[in-house]
Amino acid sequence: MRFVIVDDNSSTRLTVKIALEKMGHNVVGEAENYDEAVKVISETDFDILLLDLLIPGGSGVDVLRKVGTRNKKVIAITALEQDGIDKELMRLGVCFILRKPFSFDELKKAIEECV
Amino acid sequence: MKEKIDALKNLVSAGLLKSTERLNKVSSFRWKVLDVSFELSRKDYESVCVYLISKNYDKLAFLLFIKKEDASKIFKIFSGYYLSDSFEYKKSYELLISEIGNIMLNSVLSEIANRLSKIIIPDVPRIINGEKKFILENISGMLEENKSKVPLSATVLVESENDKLSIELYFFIENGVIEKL
Repeated sequence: MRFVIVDDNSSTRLTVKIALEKMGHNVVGEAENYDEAVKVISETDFDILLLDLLIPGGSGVDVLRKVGTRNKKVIAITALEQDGIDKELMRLGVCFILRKPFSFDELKKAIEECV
Repeated sequence: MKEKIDALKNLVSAGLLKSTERLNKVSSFRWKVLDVSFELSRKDYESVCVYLISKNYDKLAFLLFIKKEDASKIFKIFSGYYLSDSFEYKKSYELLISEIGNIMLNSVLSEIANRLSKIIIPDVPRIINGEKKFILENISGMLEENKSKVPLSATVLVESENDKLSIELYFFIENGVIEKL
């Protein structure tokens, strides 16, 4: 499957990319802030979006409000655990919320839940 | 008000407990909440500080302090190396400490948001290096109506086989928010 990763932390993006490639997936796009996220989600053909909620320039929630899910699967990644945010993410079409820090197995499980 | 302040202490404890449980899943350190109190420590030291200020709810500011030498130890145990002069080392080190701050501070923020039945999305956590006292003064000075804010501190103990480190956290929360808890 083809993934887009949105996270301001370059180490996290690299670690997740390596984990996804180990699972046999491809990373076809990356972004580290709101503007890049909107652009890469709008212009890239992908299957699953991994979206960090705290990014510079606007939140992951703002990104989804702007571009929607484009009928793709979205996994939100966050250290936040707020009922209001969880409900809003589900309303916006997120299929799984992955809490930080997460393991390789938790990432794998999140992907399985979504497909 | 005492009831409300007790409620706040309970929320901070609950948030920190959740975050330490999460960190214990992925770390060879043992993370443990040691103390939550309104006694602010006067100890000053060279620190690495991660702080966050809420984006849509500008009455909260949370800070996490780690002694500079302890931050290096934490990084060394997570990554297995210590190359303090290299640019790449510094970048990775700051990203790791920032992520630890992100997890701990946002766990507490989430407990408060849930209690208030609000959505509170903070800015991306920021990291700065310097003397704790200087950073505290500057960040608390940046906050509007700082005098009406209640500072609360907490200490988290981090243990590895050979070391015991402590992390200090400070929460500036406006009286008006505490009254709604």
